[in-house]
Amino acid sequence: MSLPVQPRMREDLIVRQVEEDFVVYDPVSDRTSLLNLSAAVVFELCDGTRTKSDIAAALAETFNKARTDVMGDVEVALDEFKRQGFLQTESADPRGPGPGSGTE
Amino acid sequence: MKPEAAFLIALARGEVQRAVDFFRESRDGDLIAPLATLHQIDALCSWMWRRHTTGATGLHSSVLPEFVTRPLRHAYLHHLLRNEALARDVTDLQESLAARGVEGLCLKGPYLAFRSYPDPGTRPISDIDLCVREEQYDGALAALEDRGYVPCASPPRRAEEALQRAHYGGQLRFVARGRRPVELHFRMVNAGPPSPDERWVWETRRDLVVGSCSLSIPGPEAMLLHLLLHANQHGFALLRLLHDIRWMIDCEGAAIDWDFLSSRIRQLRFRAGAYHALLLARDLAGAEVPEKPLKEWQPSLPRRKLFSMLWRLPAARRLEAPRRRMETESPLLFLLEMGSVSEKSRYVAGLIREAGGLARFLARLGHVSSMGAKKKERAR
Repeated sequence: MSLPVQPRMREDLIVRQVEEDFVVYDPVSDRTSLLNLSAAVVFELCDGTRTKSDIAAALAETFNKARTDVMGDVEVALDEFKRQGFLQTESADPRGPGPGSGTE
Repeated sequence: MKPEAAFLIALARGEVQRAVDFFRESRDGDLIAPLATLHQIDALCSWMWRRHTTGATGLHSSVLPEFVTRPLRHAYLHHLLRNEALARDVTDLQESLAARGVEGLCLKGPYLAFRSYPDPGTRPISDIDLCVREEQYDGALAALEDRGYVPCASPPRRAEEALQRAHYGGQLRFVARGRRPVELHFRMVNAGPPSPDERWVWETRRDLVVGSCSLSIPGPEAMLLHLLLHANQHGFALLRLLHDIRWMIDCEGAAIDWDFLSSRIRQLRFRAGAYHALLLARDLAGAEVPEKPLKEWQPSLPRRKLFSMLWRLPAARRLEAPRRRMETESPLLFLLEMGSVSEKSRYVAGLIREAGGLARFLARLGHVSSMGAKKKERAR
């Protein structure tokens, strides 16, 4: 499946900056991922209104670089978000019934 | 004791310089992070390390290599965010329970993470332990369903059956995609047969504010009793169980009425278990335990020796106590350490009845022990 034209993050993800770390917690998979700075900015920019090109433009502006210089970072970050299941899909209902995990 | 275990005990207590000394003795630093995870103190250790290396203690964070600190830090971040998600789940559940007119008592997890431990990320919570009165069983089921929870096994239809199942058969567990699992309880003391009533637990309950939500939680004595039971039930096999006791005592201090707690412990015939849990929490987790309960609950020397042997306390002190199978934890605790002879008989009768007869009960025990034997075989 290809990337959405205007990628948007799932609303149930929890993303926080904790001291120097950018952290995403996925309550469905019960997994936590660390993002580097540029991936964290791309994450914030994935709000469903921007295309990949818009995201690269905004990232380039943030880091005072040329758009072509940051396009690679954007593509890597988006591929990783897709692989991790962070991106919203049309049919996904992240809070529907399903198995939980772990016990004490 | 292995230096890796000594390192973790010291670090979790905040004795960072001692921890570093043990680390220098260690020949197997790779073992540290997995051992911390096994004992569920990785997040606490990370928090302690950061706290003592970012201040003016003279220790530089690079004293420990990244292969030790990085997984601990990841665990801390994971539990910090997961507990935030759990706070949201608990809030939602509380709203649903209130809408159904059900009063729930949230047992230890949220209290420990959000009130007693030094930081919400330092205490892992894997599920929500919810205690309700059995009269409100139907309402509790409906509230869980409202939030998308489904039972792991078909839930009993009647409240009385649910109470029996919770005490003799196994936990009533519910899961929902994207939410922490919920275990439904009807008594805070869930080892042994269900007590006729636990009014004192409900009468001494208090509020805990988590985010925008106010939860009912057990009062100080009930909470400490719950933690002492829990540490025993799991055979002191996790250092985290002892830290639960330590941080609870640290947090409550003078609010704990030890005489009242003593009377409850005597009633449950749980003095030896409570004594050893407190002693271990003092020695391994640094709990400041008053002398009075230790003196009052101290069993005779032969009883102490027997307890130490049955519960493998020397191994627990080295962080090498084996974890028991879940199916046997509660029965063992009750049959070995609690209750009167008549209560034990009633309990065994209940276990047999819930299993569907003596043959099935024995078969289940056989299954459990044969699984243990297979595991040992594999380990060999």
